Amino acid sequence: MKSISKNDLKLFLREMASEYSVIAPIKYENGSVSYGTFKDDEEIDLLQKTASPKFTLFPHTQQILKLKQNQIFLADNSQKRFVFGIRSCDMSAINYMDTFMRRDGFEDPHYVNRRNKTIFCVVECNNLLSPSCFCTLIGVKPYMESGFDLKAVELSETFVFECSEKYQDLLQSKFFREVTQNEKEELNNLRTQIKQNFQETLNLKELSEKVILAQENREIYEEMALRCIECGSCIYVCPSCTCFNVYDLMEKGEPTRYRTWDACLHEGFQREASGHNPRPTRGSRLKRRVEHKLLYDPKRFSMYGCVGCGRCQDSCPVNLGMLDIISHMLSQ
Amino acid sequence: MAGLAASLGSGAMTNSVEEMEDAELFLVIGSNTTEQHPMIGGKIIRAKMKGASLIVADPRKIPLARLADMHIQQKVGSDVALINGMIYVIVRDGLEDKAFITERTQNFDALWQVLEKYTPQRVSQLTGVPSSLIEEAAKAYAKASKAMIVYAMGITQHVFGTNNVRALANLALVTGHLGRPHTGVNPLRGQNNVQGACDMGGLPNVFSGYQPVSDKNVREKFEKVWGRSLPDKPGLTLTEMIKKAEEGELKALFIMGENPLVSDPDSKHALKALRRLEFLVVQDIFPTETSEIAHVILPAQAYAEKEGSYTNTERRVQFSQKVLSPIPGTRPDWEILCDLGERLGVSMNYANPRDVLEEINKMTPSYAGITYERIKDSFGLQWPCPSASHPGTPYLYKNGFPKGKAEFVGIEAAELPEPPSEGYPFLLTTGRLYVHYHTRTMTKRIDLLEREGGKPCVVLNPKDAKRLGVREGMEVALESKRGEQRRLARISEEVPEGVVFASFHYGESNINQLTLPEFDPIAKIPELKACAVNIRRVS
Repeated sequence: MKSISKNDLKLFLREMASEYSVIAPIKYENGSVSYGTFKDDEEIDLLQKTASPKFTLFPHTQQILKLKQNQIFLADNSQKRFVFGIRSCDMSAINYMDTFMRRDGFEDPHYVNRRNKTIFCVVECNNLLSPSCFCTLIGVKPYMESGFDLKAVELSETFVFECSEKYQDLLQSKFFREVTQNEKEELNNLRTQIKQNFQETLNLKELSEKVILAQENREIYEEMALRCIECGSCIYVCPSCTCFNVYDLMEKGEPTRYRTWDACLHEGFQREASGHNPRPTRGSRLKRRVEHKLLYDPKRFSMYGCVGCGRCQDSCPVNLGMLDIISHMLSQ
Repeated sequence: MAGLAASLGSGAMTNSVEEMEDAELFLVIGSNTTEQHPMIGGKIIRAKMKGASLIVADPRKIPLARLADMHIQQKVGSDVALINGMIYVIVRDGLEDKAFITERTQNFDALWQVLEKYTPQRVSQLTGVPSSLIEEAAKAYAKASKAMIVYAMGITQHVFGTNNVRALANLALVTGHLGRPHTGVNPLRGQNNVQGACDMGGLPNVFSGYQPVSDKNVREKFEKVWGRSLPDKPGLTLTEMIKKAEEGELKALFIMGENPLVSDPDSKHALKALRRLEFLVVQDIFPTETSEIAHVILPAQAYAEKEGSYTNTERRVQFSQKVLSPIPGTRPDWEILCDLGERLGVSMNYANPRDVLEEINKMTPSYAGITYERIKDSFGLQWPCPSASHPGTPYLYKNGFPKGKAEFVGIEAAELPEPPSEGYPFLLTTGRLYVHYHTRTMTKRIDLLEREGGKPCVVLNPKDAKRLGVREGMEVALESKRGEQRRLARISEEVPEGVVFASFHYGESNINQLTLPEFDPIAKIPELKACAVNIRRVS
């Protein structure tokens, strides 16, 4: 555990920027906050909920291979990156993706390549970041005990950093010093307070039972999906959704393959070449999405496919975010 | 546009999108809102979840109809009869807003002279809607304190489109459902700047801000600034241009961001007309069916490659910044036009879109206060905004109508120009799909949208399909007096018996080769929502 003064944080990031591309939530002139490249003196804002950092590992659109003189070349345009200021929920989603993208003896080379070159630093939430956050309800903690690359906790004067074995050397920077007794106390008090603030949790066992029960009852999904307009925004903003579509373009005479985010709620996502669609209705597609995240993922990976970040709650134009869905399931 | 301006004073949404969430009742007519204006559709759904009533009047079972409290499935083209019938019920039962009618409108008696014939029984015959449903909808609309009418192309794209709009304005005026938050008449504009294009005088009869070219004072004002004399007679609308081109009277045409060979009715005819031109210029960001026959193609820039302001459906003017470096060889539209002006001997000395906006502020009273400084970093301002300190106008007619009193006009229901007949027993109505935009010049380039759109289809009612021996996915031929197209059959109860629906997006399966080149006499908008066709099995 090391500590750094708030003033020195920027100096540390500047030092990191000489070796890594540093990405952080930056506040822009018009007041908006989003992940951008930190180079020198950009204002970092840790109090706003931003888009998820998923794009750093799994970009919206990504070139994956090229054919040159009948030889296939995997695209590799990744660089060493240091992503500062993600949240515990985001890190949980990355841990989920790490598992999902390396499963059953298969590795997604494009993801793994980027992941191997990217270091994430979580900044823990001392308070609810926005009213739509529901991490604790789904069993994700706003503070992290394990499973992070680096993490920082904001105290009154300083940030206290911890890191996994692999990244110990990063805290050797001259800007860090040992934590003081006062800081330790402040940290303990904060943890106690957070535990009190984030007490509420759902009956997850009951939730699983309800989802299992609804496996035989499509109606509940069809009814909810009546208002779905199939915009896909819940999926695009989700930090753990990994569906993609692949397409080819001819670029300067070279066949080039791209992948781009896709959404399982779209009608054509599972449509087969024959025209047959195993999920022909919006309800059946919503059912698949919910069961994937709340039933199959826990079975396969012992974690939910939802981390409670609430971004779908914010983006859904018809109040059909995951918390809306979960609440509706529990009310059945 | 023309209809609403004539009745109320402005041809635009009276309210803001944000206000929709707190309306008490919606009458959605001729708008497939969740598919064509999905964010507004979302607002309507949220309002519904908060307890609002939803009346959907549409011949098709559009997705919003599944959530509606009442779905009125009127016959295609019978909107005036339906609306007149609703007004009849409202006045008969004394539910009209008498004070509003006296203080803020004129010509009510003339209206009633026409409307007294529209009893629910008669309207039921004209529309195919049960009279009880007409009664129920009329009463609900009149009694709601915050009622919104929402309409789109299903109302306007008819030979009597202007009349349809005026009938809706009558309905709102009779009940006084105007001039308040969450309450009004809202035509939804589908493109990011279609409202702006109209506002800027992209119409043959007006300068910016709907200042008429026939007004001498207005002309003089513009002549002084532009340094040349200006014509006092309105020009031609797009549909008139096609006709004049065909007649050989129009020699040259400059088309920007439009693909009339796919979007205009009777497109074989349109092709013949455009081929007669001595000179055709097309300015666009991608090649189109129309640019294929152009003499000169001017490559323009897409929105992200340039800066400038747009006016959206709720009259909001927003500034958009350049975020991408343009493709070499392309130029922003304004620059192409200025350069062209210079070569034609007109001095157009603008350094950037900000200069253009400055002139708009100076010359357009409703845009006077919408300055670059005020909109560059904000979410924009809604017109009218007459001065630099004016906050903009979220909803219109709070303090009365621009022309003093709003005007009722008695509108008679009219027959469709080409009803189904022997040999052409089906009514073809055209429209759009959720995933495609207009003639697909942009969206066909997106793999995922192409997958979602699937192959070009025609939607048939299961009973009709059975009668024709057509199964899902079979190829069928659609034939009108003007042409024939093949499409794959999609069978769904979404359309009523006797009606088929097809999207017009596809140049390679151009449904507008079938549609009827008849136009609204005022707005000159074509009849794209109804023509007679025959359908036969091919495979």
